Amino acid sequence: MSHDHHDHDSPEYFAKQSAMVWKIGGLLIVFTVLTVWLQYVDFGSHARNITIGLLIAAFKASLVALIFMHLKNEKGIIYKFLLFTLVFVIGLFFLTYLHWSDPLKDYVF
Amino acid sequence: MDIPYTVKPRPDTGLWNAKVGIWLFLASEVMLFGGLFSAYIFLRIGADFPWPVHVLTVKWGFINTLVLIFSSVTVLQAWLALKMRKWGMFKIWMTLTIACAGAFMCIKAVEYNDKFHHYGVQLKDGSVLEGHLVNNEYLVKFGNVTTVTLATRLNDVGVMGISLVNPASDAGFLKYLIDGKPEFKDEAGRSVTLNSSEVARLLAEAIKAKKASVKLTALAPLKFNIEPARLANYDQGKATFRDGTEIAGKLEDDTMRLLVDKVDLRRIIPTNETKLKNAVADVSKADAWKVLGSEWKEKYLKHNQEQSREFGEKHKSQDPLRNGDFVREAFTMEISLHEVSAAEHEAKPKGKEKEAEKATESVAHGAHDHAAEAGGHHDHPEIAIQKNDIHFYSNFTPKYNNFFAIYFALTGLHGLHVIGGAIVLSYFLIFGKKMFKEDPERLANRVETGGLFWHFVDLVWIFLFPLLYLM
Repeated sequence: MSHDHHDHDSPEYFAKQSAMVWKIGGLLIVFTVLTVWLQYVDFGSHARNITIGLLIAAFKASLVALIFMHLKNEKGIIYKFLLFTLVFVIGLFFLTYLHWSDPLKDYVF
Repeated sequence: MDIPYTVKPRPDTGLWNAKVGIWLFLASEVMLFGGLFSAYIFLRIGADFPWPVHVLTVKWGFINTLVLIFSSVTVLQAWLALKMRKWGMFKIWMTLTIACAGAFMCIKAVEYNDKFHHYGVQLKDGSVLEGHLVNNEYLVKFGNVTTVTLATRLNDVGVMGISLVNPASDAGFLKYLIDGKPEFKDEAGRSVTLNSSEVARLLAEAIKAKKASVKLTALAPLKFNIEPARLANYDQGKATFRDGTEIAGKLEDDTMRLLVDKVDLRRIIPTNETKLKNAVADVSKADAWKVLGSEWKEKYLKHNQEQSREFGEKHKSQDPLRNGDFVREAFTMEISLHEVSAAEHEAKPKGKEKEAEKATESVAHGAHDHAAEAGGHHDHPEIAIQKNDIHFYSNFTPKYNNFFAIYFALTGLHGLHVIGGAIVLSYFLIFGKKMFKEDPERLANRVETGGLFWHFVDLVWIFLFPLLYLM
């Protein structure tokens, strides 16, 4: 963080933080408007609209996680927890691939 | 005993304990919601019906997104106020945050309520008509009811003494008696006037005599108007209530009256159909037109043609029936009398306006505007659908389809998180003053912990809003 050399307990530091929080909040609103608008734009296929919508959502989510939840400068142990979570979540999403598996016909894996 | 490391970092983790705790909890939450998001994808790609797109009110979802983003900002401002040791500012920001939680839940309640009162009716050929029930009711009307049979449920032994069906008859069915007095003769010829204590007495007698039922004959024919949800089953000659009470008479009317706002004929098109022409021919023979009338059919076909023309201009090489967006827009149509009136206003010279209005009032055979009785759905024509023509109907709840199932599961769980978060944050607001005086940094850390949870709730909504409302 660019403020690292500042005193983390000074009122100036907190005032700066407060201003940044408002800015990020504004940015999140701008991207929400963008999400809604882009869903009504014809990109040729619905799949593209979904991809674009999810990319913006992922960007907004990372703003919340990195800045609002201070993950940007968090201690290593928390990243370790989240790494495990990531593995499990990928596993959970991978389960949806079973949808295409039909043991009577063929094996997907 | 003091709780260790509420403020000072623990040497091995480098963090105060609550922070480790909340992140472990959030990690498990990610997996909980991850599983449900995964279920959403699974249900959507595996759906054997046109997945509902844009069926929720985007306005409400959008406003709720803004509310949550704003509350994420205010909860951080509350935390920063504590860091600066400003109790007054903390109170203001935290109150705003909790007010946002309340606003979010109120909007959610409005949305849920809308869905509970909105119905989809699928006819036997797959035509789907959506709308609101006239007067919010659908009643099965039985006339000439001469016998009523109360059930003792004596033969229901249950499992380990616990009955798996509803308890024996009660007097609940009398609520639906709309014409005639509940005066009967029992099997022994004694006169009885039914009310709840009489029903209880008759059942007690029957149970003593080890009889499964009590048959009563009405002194004069009775009329019943019954909500189908109260009935276990019914046919032309009798109806059985969920408590086992049976009435025998004549089914006089079984018509659902709907103020229809949308017609969706996508289910009629065979999945392997490749020719647009054939699909249009299929939908023009739909059962929907028997209830909606030929004028709406004409409008629908015109709407379909227009969409096809637009699509052809934009996507020359694409097969229209393989494009879900096109199929949705071309084969479903909003039904609104208001739009018709506007169109006719434009088309007709001023002097003929009144005639035009009259024409739109009964725009189609059988479709009348009974807006005044319907409680506000002024714009939609009323249609009458015979139960025999209905394959399936439901309000927009999990019963209707998997979209609403996962919608309510995801938003319901998310809503519970909003309530939980609001309770925790309210606790800091109401009972935090003492800790603020004794150990303000500890309170700040507590608020940070609650805030982390609150941001997570916002983060989940960031995905829920586009997935459910927009895509």
